[in-house]
Amino acid sequence: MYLTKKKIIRLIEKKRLYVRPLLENSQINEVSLDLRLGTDFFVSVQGRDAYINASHNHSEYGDIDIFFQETRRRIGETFIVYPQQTVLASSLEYIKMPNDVLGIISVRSTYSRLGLSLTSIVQPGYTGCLSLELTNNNKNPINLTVGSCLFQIRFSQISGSQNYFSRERKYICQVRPFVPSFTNDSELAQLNNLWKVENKKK
Amino acid sequence: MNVQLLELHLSQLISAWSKSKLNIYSDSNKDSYHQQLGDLLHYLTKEDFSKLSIIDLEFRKRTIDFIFKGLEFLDKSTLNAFPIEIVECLNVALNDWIDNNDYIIVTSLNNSLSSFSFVPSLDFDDPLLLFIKTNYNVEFKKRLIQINLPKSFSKDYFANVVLYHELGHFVDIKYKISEALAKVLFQDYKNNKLSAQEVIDLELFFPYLTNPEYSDNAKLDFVKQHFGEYFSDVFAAQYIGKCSNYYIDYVTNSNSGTSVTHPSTLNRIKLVNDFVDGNKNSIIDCLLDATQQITNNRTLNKRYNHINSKNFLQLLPVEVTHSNQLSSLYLLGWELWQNYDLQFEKHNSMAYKLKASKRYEIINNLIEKSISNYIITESWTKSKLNVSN
Repeated sequence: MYLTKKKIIRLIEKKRLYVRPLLENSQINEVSLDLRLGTDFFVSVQGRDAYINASHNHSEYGDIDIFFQETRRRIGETFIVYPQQTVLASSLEYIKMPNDVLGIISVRSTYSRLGLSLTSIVQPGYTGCLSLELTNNNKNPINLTVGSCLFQIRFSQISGSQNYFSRERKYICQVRPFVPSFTNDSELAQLNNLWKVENKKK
Repeated sequence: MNVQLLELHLSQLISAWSKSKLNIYSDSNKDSYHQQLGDLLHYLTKEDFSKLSIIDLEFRKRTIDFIFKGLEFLDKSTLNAFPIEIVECLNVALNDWIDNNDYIIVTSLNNSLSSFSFVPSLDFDDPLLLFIKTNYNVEFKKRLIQINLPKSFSKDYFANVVLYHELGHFVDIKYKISEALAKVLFQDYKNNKLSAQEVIDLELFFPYLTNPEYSDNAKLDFVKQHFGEYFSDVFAAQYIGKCSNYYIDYVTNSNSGTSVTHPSTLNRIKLVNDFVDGNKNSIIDCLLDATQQITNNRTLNKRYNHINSKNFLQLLPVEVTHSNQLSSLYLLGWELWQNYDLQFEKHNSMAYKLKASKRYEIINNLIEKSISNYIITESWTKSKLNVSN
């Protein structure tokens, strides 16, 4: 069940949902909240390695940072997303979610029609700026304004309350996007061991 | 002056400029300054150095140095490299101490972890700037305040409290406070014009005054240098209280020795503590009086506010409502770090203990976002007013 405008406002008033800064109340829509494009970006670039290694196998290819370049803008400036480019961005707003509400992020239809895509969820209890992985599916570059309402989040009530911090979290209070790291992923380490045994690798 | 070497120097500058000429600063003041450096370089390249006098050549060398130094800092003050939130806080403090917005704070990120410094070399070279205006009709109406900080700490709101001290050096040099104060006090000390308490304090904070091995000139030089440090410490304490004490005490291992450039860490800490706690201290009284007289009634006083830690403990950025709260965020961060007792875990029902490195990341992020939200909200409100007008 998606929360309506009245309920979103009530969550903010009751200090169960925090949105900082909420520059305009008009960002709260009938069943969603508009979010603005933040100031920090990581753009994908061609790295020296042959491929991005999202595995512990072939660990000679391990540094994902070299495939991304960090850049910054001020609010009101523009940022170009090139065709098929992956851009890690974040919301201008810092959000703290209630423990019983899930967030579903999508590109607003105005920008979606240009070919921008993104789908992500926000866990109940999450706190920080929202990480946004943007892709331009258009054949043309798209010039975006930092601070524009590019995304929206729909809030879905879940049955029961979840404790976000019931287990150790990698991302807390993030204020800018981060290139993912697979180095400490225990599942990938286990899969790597399995692969080594099966293939008699050292 | 060797003309060949001067031409080499200019060639090096042209090469450096070719890499910098398309810099984007997102700041019209820096854009204008950059453009003026470009104009100046253009005029230099049109000159025939072989026909100039020795004195004129000397001024060309200084002009080339001036452009190089400006570029060194402007290159590292593009938006991607510039710690905008930290500099916003420094700008707020700067506005308390200068009447017109005639200065641009620029930063250079260095590899050394101890490279916090204010670079006074060319900001105050009035004869050179007059020469540039007279000869090339290029007038730098704004000056750069050049501050170095370690690259690794560009987003660190703990270590960067010392930048308030560096800004203090700028204010001190601009108004020549410590220089004037040192001369007067040293003379009064020599001529037995000070009270008994003033003598005790002076000999405590400047212990070499009683050392017969030093000449009077050497002693005066030390006093000038050390008053500059003491002034900058008190200047910083106005904004960040005792926070810089925590940091310098650690990095200098509570150093009790005095160097040519710096008083002992223990004395610096005592002075800041006395200022913040309001303890009687005649050195502070002297600094306060001199500052008020020289700076047209500006006073050294505690300018920070206490910010409740409730927001941070709930993992939320603070909603800053006035620029004078910005420096208080540093205090809040240090307070939380110094007195940490699992508050993040308790307030957020964490089922595990946060690593210190995670706490460091959280506090830094919350301070940064509190500052950046203030900047964004201010810009947004101003732009709305402009639209409605």
